[in-house]
Amino acid sequence: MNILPFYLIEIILAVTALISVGLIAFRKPLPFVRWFFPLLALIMIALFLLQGSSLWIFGNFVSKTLFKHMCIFIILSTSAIAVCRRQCRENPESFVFIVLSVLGLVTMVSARHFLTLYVGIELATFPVLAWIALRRENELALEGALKLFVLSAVASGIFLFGVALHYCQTGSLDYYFFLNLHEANFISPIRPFLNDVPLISRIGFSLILVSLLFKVGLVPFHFWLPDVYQGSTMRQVAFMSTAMKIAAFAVLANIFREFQMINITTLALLSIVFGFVGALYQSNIKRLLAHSGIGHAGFIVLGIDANFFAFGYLIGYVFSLMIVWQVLISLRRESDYEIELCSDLKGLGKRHPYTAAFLTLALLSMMGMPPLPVFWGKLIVLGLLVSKQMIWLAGLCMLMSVVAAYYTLRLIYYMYFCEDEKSLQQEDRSTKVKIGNLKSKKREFT
Amino acid sequence: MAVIPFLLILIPLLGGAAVLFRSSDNADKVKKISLGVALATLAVAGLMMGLFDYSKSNFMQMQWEPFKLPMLGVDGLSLFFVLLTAVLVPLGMLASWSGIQQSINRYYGLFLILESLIIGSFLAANLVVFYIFFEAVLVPMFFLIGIWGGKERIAATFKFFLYTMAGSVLLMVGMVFLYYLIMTKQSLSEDHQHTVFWCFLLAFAVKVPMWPVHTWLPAAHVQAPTGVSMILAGVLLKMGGYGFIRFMLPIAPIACYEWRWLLMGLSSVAIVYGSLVALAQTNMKRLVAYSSIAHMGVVTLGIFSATLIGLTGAVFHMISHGVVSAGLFFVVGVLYQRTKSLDIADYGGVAKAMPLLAVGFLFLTCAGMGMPGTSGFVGELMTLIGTYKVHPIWAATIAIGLILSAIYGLRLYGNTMFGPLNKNLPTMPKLEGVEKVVLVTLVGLTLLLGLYPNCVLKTVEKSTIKTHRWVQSVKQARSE
Repeated sequence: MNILPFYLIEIILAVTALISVGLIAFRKPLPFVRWFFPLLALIMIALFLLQGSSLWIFGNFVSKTLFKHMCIFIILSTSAIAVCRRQCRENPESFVFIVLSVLGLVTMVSARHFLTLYVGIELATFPVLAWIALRRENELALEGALKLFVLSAVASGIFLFGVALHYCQTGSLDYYFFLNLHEANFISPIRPFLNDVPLISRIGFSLILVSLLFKVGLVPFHFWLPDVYQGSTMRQVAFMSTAMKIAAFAVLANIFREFQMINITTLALLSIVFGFVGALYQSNIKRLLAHSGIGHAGFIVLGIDANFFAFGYLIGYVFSLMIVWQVLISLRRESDYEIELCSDLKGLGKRHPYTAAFLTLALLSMMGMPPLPVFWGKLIVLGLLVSKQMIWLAGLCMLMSVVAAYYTLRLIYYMYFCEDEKSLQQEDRSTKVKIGNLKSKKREFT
Repeated sequence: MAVIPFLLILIPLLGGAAVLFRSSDNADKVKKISLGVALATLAVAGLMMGLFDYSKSNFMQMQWEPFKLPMLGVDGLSLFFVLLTAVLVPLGMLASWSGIQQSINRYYGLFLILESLIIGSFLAANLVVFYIFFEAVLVPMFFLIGIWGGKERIAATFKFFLYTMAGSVLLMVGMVFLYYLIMTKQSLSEDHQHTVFWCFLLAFAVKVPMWPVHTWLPAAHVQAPTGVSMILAGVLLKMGGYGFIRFMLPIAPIACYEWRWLLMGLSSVAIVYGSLVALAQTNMKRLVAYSSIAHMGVVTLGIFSATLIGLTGAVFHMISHGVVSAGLFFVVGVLYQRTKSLDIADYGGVAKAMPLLAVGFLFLTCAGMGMPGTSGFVGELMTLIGTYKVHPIWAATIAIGLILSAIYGLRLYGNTMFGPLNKNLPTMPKLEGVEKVVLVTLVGLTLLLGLYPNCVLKTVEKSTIKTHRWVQSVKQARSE
């Protein structure tokens, strides 16, 4: 069987990373940085069209189904935002970090074996850590990188422990034995929640679930998101909140698709509440989007079920989020500092009407305004909840999205109803940078 | 034929988007273009009226069904609401002709987009399409009130948006629940009807607004600019009533019948409470806003009285109230524009300075009071008869409401128009040409509807008979 097209994306990523390292070692510039990821996404489409969507299984480690193809494609497209030419000139290692992280994400998504999954998770997280920590002089960045490091390491440890327990029970690390745990006891294939699965596997399952929920950002495991996002630059946050989240959800869908996530309902509801309510008081725009990401993650997790995944919601949310990030990144160019506070958006409606219009559209979409994408996603999730007879939960979740409406409207209010204070702030900003280390002590707490 | 509803939505939408992205350098040109688009929409609505088959007005006509899915259509119930919107929007534009100073292109663009979305919700043949337009209406309203409104506009617009959205998200849940029942091929049993009832109730109750959830209305109305107030009171409130009749009564008649005492009680409270609070107001706009609450209380009383004549009266009263309250807000807006004050105490003897306005205002006040000959009488009478059939005590609340509306209406009129000319008033120029057009049109519509209500009633009746049949079957089943 012709393996090359099957593995083409991973091979290109790995080879590019090695070549980039070589070029950096010899202090040569990286010419291909700008069009690398879009080209890769196009190659993905070409591969898909040429080879079809049949299930590919290579050994027992990796497989590519239609769902995985789609996820990989979206990961590649959203990674394009992570690449910044200026940063790649000053710190060309950041490009290598991005490429390696994307390689890890692709591996994570196409994994069929817990070892591959583990390699993917680690490969995805560590380069991002180093990338965030590149800004050595910024205290917030170092804090974010350190938090991500420590907590990711703990989560990986828990993950390995869970996998080990599962291996103890079933003797194999392949997904097949995970997905077909019921066959261990030959009881009926419809399992409410692991009732007929032996205890050790149940514990292992829970630990693996905990570790993946950490990556997604669900509620008891969400504390790292706002701080890490605040410490990163816009492009880093854009990459983390889109590509890494998609990969985490894809893994969740792959592994847990055989089990009904009924016990996750409580966590999802708590995420929705804490995410949206927590975003109300944020004045830093990255923290606000982190909290809103937690809330939306709750919605998406509610949409994971046997044979079902709220893919539409994820796609709609990610695309709206991409627009938001792109607008925020583009606003940096005019002022040479990053948009930190929500109130930095003041007067945008007058300064850049079209940009403000796009941002408004994307924000309204994230709020769930019909006929924009996330509304249809919410319909899908609600449909799933209603079919499980959980109407009260559906109503509660929708009431929470009204809470989300408040901070969205506040951002729109800043853009259109407020006067432009940029000229005032610019003078403040230059002094703020010098005393930046002192100012950073005064942060918002969730 | 199917293209007409589609055009009705598309023309103002595209026109609004085009106007929105022009620069507002040439204010006159922007205003004229947007008025042209609104008049074009009115022309298409007139065409729709002409092509409508009145003998079959209980069926959905001119359906636009892409991919075999009914999306848009018009029947006897929605025809007049669409026409009301198409008439009120140009009038609203004329009312704000000289009142809006900043970002004129955005104002008129948003106004047109608002018109498109409202018409879309009335033309929806499908609950999902209705919901899309129902929610989407909030966005242009948010901007219109928030940017061009009065002093406390930000709080008012946030309150309006969040309140209304909180109601309509439950509508979404109810909608999904219905879809699930249809997909699993279950019939709508009584328990299911109750669930759907409660989900739908909150959404439409906030929109109408019914009594406990009415508090967004005074804030939004007082702070909104004149043209927006006219549309808000004239058409937006009717979306809630229309939702009740179109969706809630046919889908959940058992629940509507069983809970009718609660809803009739809330409507009665709205009538009496709204009128009493209107009596105590010193702010003209707030007085008219509370009178709107009272009138919509009459409407919901008629809808939930489970009688045919009550239901038909409610529909007529919605149309009439649309015209009358738009007119009242217009008059208040005219006065505000000249003196920049909304306090009744600052006025007096305006009839001496602006006689035509005084005449028009009197007609509109009489219509608000339910004077026979004006449109207000017909709806109130029919609702009165309908509720009397249910229980005479409910009818008494309408009577109390009528008396109170006479008191506050005439008090407002007398204190502003009659008496000696208040010395503190600046010189009040007479009505300009565009203002005369608006006033004459609205007063003319009031008189037309009042003197010949059958022009509307005979078409509406067929549709309401169809809707009433659902409730009637429940009534018969219960009384056996």
